Amino acid sequence: MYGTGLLKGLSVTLRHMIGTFVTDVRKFPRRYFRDGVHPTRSPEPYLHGAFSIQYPEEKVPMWPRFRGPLVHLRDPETGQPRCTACGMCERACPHGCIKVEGEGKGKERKPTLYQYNVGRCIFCRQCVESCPFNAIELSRFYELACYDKDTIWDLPRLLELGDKEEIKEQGQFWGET
Amino acid sequence: MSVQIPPTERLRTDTIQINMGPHHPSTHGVFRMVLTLDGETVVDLEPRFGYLHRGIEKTAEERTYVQNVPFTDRLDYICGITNNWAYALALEKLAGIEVPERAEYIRVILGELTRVMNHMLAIGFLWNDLGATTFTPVVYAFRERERILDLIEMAAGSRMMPSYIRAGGVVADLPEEFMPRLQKLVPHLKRFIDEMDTMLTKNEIFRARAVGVGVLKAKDAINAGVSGPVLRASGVPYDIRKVDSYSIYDRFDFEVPVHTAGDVYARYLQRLAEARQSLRIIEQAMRDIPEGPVTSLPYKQLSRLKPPKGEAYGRIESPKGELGFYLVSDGSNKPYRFRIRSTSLLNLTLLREMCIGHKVADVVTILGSIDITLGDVDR
Repeated sequence: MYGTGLLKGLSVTLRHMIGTFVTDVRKFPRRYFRDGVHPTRSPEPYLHGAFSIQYPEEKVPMWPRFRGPLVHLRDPETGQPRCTACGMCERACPHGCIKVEGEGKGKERKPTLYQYNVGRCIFCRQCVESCPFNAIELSRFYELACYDKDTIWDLPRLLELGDKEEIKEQGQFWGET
Repeated sequence: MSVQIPPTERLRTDTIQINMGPHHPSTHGVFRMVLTLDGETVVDLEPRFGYLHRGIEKTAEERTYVQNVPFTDRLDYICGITNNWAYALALEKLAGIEVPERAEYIRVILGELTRVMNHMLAIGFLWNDLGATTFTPVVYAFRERERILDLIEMAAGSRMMPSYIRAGGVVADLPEEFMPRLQKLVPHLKRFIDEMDTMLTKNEIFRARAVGVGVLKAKDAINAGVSGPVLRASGVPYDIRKVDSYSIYDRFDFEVPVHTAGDVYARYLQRLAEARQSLRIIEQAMRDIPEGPVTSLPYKQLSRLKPPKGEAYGRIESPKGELGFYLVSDGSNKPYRFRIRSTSLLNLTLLREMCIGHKVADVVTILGSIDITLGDVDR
């Protein structure tokens, strides 16, 4: 009969609509304040109600490997940056968004200038992989919208962000390679 | 006495030229079609593209081989994994790099997940192009796509720009919780594809709009170099995974579905059937995946890679068709020539032949059924 295919299709959407509310009712007290698990982050790939996430209050936790902006790590003993201004990250960057200058020789070498242009960065992680001194890592920070052109970050700011992220070692979530 | 007007058989009207695009929601990006219309019937169509040209081929000649990997993500931004894969394959041929067993399985799993994602999205957007009242499929497709992208993000660190597959293997091994999640996701995706089938295939409005619209004959498709689901929907069983088997596809048991009608409806059915076959491959790969190393060429060696003089062409069956990278090396650490054989551009060349004689509304449907990404067309 003409029109049956259409009705059959609509039954799927109806089932979904009812299913959404059934899930909400079943999880009633946790409907607005869920236990910190975003629907896509939970291992069960099913419907999780009509209310997804209350964004500014709740935030989606990023995966450990999430590639956000660059941060610098501190030496755990001295608290100084581990960077020795060797310039490997500058050479590895496909877009040229890192600028490093340093002074001193050998182990005494320290960066005098480290500019990281987050507005140009494509978060490919090649600077981190090229770093021989275990000095930089990508953070899980993602709210990068800003009102001014403050996109060039310097070393103190990168160190401060690194403290906030609590990253211990370079590549600690990326296995051996 | 009134003046007698001789009766004409048909009211003659002038043709009118209109621009569709570049900012038209149905063009999936910035793409312009110059339509010549007689009433509502399309008499002529001229595709104009280049609005998204970023000069990736030329830029890549000034960067080292490993620095070019993030650029390949940005070609066809729906399926970044397969773009990485095609480039890695070309570079492996050029420099003679071996790939570990486990890395091949990881590539197959993620590549086929990308295919499922792309085909579901293509179906969703096709329905979106048919009219705003059928917005449901694209929302459903986006929801399931997010689950797949979540797995890719877990492994690679980025949803759409993974840069995960590199020459010599993959960047890092899969995280521990990847496989349990994948095992739960695959039956779910199977159910989802069945659901899409029930919801859409027999819809009378869809059939009225899609059957017999935009017919592409097999001979024309072969002459123009069309590939992928568009070619197979015209009745040519050409799949690079079978005819020029790369990676480990010869180990898996899967079929190449073919539809013969060559219209919009056949392309829709083709994508559903291919997504089902992809899930079959993923199931087999999940069962057989071995332990072991995932790369034969760590980053520090890869960044200093200097392939010998020569040239190589690596091609894969990307979700949209044949995606190939042609690399010429002059012995330095940068490619001398970096040529991309992009899928969407060649699939788009027959748009004029498909559209002539149809109404304006069908142009949108036909364009949606080819499934182009403008990042891939313009590069």
